[in-house]
Amino acid sequence: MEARVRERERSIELFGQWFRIFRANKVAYISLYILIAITLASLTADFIAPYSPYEFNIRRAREPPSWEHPFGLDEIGRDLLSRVLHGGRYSIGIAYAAVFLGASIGVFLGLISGYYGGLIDDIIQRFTDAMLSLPTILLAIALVTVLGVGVYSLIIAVGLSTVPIYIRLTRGLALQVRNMDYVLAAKILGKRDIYIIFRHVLPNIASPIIVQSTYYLGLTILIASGLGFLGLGVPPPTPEWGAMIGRGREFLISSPHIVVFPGIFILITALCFNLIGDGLRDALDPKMAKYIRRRGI
Amino acid sequence: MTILEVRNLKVYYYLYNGVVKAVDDVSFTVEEGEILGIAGESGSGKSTLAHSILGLVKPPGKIVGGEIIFQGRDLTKLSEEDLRRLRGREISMVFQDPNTYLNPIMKVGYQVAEVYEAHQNIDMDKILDRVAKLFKRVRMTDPEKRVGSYPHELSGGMKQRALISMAVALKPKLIILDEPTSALDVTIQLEIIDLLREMRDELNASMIFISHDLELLSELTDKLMIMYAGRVVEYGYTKDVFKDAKHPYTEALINSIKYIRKGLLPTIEGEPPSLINPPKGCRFHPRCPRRFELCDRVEPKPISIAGRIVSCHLYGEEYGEGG
Amino acid sequence: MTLARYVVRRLLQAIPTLFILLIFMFILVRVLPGDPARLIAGLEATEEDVERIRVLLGLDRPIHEQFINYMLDILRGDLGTSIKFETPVIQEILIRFPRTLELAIVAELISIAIAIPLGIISALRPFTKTGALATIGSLLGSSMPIYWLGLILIYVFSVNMRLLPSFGYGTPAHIVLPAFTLATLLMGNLVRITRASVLDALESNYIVTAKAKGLSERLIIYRHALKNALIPIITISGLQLGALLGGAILTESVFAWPGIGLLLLDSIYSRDYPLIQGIIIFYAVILILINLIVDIAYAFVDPRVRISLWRPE
Repeated sequence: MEARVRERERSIELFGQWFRIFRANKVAYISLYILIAITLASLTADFIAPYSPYEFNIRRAREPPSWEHPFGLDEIGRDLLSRVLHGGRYSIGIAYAAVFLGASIGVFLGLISGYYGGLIDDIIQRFTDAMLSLPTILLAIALVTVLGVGVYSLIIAVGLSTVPIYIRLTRGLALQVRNMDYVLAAKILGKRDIYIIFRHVLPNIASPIIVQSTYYLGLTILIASGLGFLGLGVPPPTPEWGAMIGRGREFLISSPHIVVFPGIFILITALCFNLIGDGLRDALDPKMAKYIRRRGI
Repeated sequence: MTILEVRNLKVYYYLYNGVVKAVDDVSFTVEEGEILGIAGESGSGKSTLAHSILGLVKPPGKIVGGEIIFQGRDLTKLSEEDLRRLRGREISMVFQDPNTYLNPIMKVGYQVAEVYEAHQNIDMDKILDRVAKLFKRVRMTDPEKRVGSYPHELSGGMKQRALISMAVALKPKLIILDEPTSALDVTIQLEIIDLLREMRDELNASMIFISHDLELLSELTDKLMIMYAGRVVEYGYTKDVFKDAKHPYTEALINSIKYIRKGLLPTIEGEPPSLINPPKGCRFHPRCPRRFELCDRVEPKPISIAGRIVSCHLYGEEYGEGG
Repeated sequence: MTLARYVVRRLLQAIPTLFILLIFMFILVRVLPGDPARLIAGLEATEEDVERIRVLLGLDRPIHEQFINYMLDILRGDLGTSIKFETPVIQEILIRFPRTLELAIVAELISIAIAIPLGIISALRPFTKTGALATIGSLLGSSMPIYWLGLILIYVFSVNMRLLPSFGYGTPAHIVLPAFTLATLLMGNLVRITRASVLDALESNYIVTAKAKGLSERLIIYRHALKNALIPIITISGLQLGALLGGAILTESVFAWPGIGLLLLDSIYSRDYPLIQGIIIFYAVILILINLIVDIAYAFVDPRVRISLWRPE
């Protein structure tokens, strides 16, 4: 009992320590706030967006930014700001859902592969090799071609295309902890494999997986919006950022604003994920703590 | 003649969770042709001390005080370029692990040749001949062939010979050896020690030999300095120290040799101290069998006794508070 | 083991990988929801049209027979016939692929030329403005939607400044914008990898030895740190060629670069299913080959690997 309490206190202390390190990284900390702001804005778009994202006025199509419409109007005269705000739901939401899907499947298979080794490992690894030989975006395109357009098929396609990356990552980490004392001890105690995998192996490899997932969120936003750009994502008139750029590109010469604004949001969101990833990596890396000079943190 | 004089040297590491005083107020001298041994547990600061002489302490470590006087010049005040000219030519160094201290993708001969290249104007063709001769002198087998070998093709002992040949190539005045044999097999250790002795006689170079192996130091060195938690606890002629250790820590170390001879694992009770928050008073007092009331309050000053320097209250006069 | 045997062994290892990919493609098209014949025929097609396409593609046969025919055809290098062009798929691919390769190689060279020096500088001067700029630049690069960057570049350099053509293929000027756009895909990663690799090398013990020899800072960095650091960089930048071929799909779409990526998109839009399948299989083969070549090149560069391979065991 006492050991449990001490373990709890220790993890709270560790959390406090890494949060202090994370916060000391000003850029990562600010990125976190920007990301939260963008997420909140898109979630509350129904209330804060000045206009409807779907209502169009063809006579005012492609009007440049003005006080009335800060981002201007799109190719059929819809308010671009409102569309960008609503679009965050799709672009960011798809990224979260896809990474969650990819991580759930990939981490599970990677754990099994790394923990058991042997034939299961061989089979999963050959599969992973094969999938990794295709670039992620091509894999996603292949899957979406079969699944058809739509939010859910986009999530599944992009999510599945990250599975091999997660398998490779998790397997490597699981191999490292497989022979640790606490895992061996649990085996000797006769604990079931599934218990050991989820109670001992997974918690010990969780932090690098979390760090990588943050990067993959950035990557997934780019891939999903890339598919949207190619017309392989969500069907119109859904205001997904990539699709908005894809449909606005015809009017690039006369009305670049239709392309510019959604792109800036993709860039900022992906950048935030990458910067937060860096911050998390530094905060969770035990080696880093040693190298950061004392600055009263 | 004094080759090297270190006065009140302080080397600190500035870490996230505090300042590590790896070398704290250390003074000693090395005379011409003399071998000084430095002993202590790992973490006692002996390796940091060795690196700081050549200005090789890596950040976040820093020399924060004291002087290192080599042939009349204070090395802590030299420019990087002046230090560079000194390294390898007047003071050289041999490191602990020959496996990682050689560049894995460069032929060994070229790595040794770089010492000449750094300090002399000389033809590259001639250098390799000289390296082969040097390899022969450090008794490498098949020296001509070894010049063209990559490190992973050599055994640990051969790699260490290559590193030693690098250190003696330009006949330096002072050679610093940082646990040069601790990564090697026992038989090879002895060969390397013989070689080092021979080199000392041939070059009349002074040496600083760092090791945790007291028995080895007792055979090889003229003077001995015992370090504990960044401080010098005892410093004097090796023979004297072994005959009659003054500091309880030295005593414990020497006793531990007897255990090794009996095939037992030598241990000194207690754990090495934290260097971020060292114990108050004498740093050894929590583990000291002969501590008394003064030890946990007042830090002992180094005093001269029986021809050596000892930092221990057992030999002090009465110390007042804040002494 | 000799190098020849190593190459043979790696080739043999590539076979199961390829085999799995082929099975994957086969399953993808047939087992997942959706009738490929109907997909190809389109929404307006009649039942007869769908049936005609089904027979044409051999989809009316039993599944094992389909699989055997599929594998045999691929082994013969026959990837089927394009529905849209009515020519052999492999012929279309072989016309288009060199253009994509050209784009990818130029992009790779651009990103190496920019990213490796930037990475080195940011590793050597970690606390300066240049270092910070390189770090920020690399992050911007990895967060960049390249298709958007391509459009912005077109707007700035073609529409506004009228310096470079905005689309098409032919003259050296045509490749500048697409290659630079595609290069961005790699640059961020490459800067970071270079930086980490150089920092890692600088932390190594052999650097301490080099310093203790009295070697100059310049020689230490060039001869010891950078040479060691470059080995992983070369490997990784080689492996990234695969990512470039993937990114080329987006880039080719933006710049109407008539490569294999644009062909894939056309085939998807026109539901030219044999062409889609053929292109993806072709990509897989090419990428497996690239991995193979990188592995072998790695064995040449690193003496540790090289000698362990060449020395008789």
